[in-house]
Amino acid sequence: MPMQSEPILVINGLVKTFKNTIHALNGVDLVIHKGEVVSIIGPSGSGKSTLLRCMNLMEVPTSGSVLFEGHLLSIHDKNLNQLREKMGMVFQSFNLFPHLSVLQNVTLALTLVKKLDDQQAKEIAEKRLLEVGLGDKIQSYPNQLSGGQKQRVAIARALAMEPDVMLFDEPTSALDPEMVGEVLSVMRTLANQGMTMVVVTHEMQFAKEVSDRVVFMAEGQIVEVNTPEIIFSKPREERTKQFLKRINIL
Amino acid sequence: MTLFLNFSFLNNPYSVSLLLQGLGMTLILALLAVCLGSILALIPALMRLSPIKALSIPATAYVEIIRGTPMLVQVLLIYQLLNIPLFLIGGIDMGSFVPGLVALVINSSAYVSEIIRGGILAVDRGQTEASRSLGMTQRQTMQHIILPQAIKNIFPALGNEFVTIIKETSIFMYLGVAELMYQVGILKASSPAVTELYITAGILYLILTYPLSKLMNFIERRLRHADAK
Repeated sequence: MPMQSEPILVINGLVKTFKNTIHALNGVDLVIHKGEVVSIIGPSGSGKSTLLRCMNLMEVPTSGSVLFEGHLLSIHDKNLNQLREKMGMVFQSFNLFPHLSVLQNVTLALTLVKKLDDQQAKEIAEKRLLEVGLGDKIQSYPNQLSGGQKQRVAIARALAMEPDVMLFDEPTSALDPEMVGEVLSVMRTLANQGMTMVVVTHEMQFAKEVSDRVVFMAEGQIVEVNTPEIIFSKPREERTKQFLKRINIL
Repeated sequence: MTLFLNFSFLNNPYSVSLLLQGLGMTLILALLAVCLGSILALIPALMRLSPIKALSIPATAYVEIIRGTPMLVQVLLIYQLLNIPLFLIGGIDMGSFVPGLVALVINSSAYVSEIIRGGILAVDRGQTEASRSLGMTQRQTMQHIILPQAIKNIFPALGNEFVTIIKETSIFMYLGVAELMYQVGILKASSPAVTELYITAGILYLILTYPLSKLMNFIERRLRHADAK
């Protein structure tokens, strides 16, 4: 486990309040290291998606700070786009661009953001789509794909930008059960290649097998951070035990 | 009221040509107004969507004022304000045509801006998030992700606006713009068949609007299918 490697994301005192009433995040500190796979688990409404979405400022925290590769993220910073480019994000609902072909979904940001010419962008996109097993679907449109295929396109789209970290927001929650496997397998390969990954997930088996560390959250706070071995066999905190018992893991 | 209608004025080439000229003018006014109005409408639409109050408040005021006052008042006010002297281009008096068109464009822009705004808001928020997470700017996101999808929501409603504007052009008879109702007014002075003239005018409007509604329905279906190509 790359505990000694340098931090890539440093989260400090993160608070997020929605409509001044609900505390989605209640003071969260977390450090993600380079090359690490961190899974975030917990009951729904525990703030795990909000925490992930704060990491690239999709959600703007009420207070606290996020440092990415030493840069303080700020919504007013003109460089935020360049920093976001380095943080790939995969959404629960895929969010493919329905008016663009699979290939164009991947090439658009390459040409607009990375300023590559069409040919270079196409080559990168084809390579990435081939890697996720969709080399034969590049001319298709998103609504011709299954959920699993859509999510793999979304992963290829994010990877094409050559991010330093990948943020996964419940990537398999909207999938039919028979399609979960193909998406998890792509993510497994990615983890084995040494990609830094933060994964909000309900897939406990995946969290157990692939993660270097598992974060358990409840009520907007981190309850326990530990290796998957400890979390899934002898968690230290009572809250963690209760949660895992409820979902029949312990 | 006469029980038997007499459309004999339709045998008179002069009357028919006047009515058709009027119809042509009506169509030109409506087309220009919707096209120019739609382009202009993008400005208040985007301003209203901005989180910056200095942009959104004036745009909201503009839209509310235009939508909240009668078109007749707007047309007469702009005619008065512009106060262009009579001069002819292609047999059309620009002194009344230009202020009429300006009024119609302004009116149309306010309604179309709401159509555009609604179309943009109807695009799923996840589209913006996906785009921004790839490092695209707000402007790139709007141009390449949101607007192309919003068009599908906007287009059918734009057709309805076009139909509305065709009917609204009848207001220009007050300015002396030679559109359909103005020509009807001229014919009315020399013909006893007033009821028949009004019926004819109604049918002529319908000839413009009905196929247009059908065309819009057709285009709307095609756009929905375009996703499935």
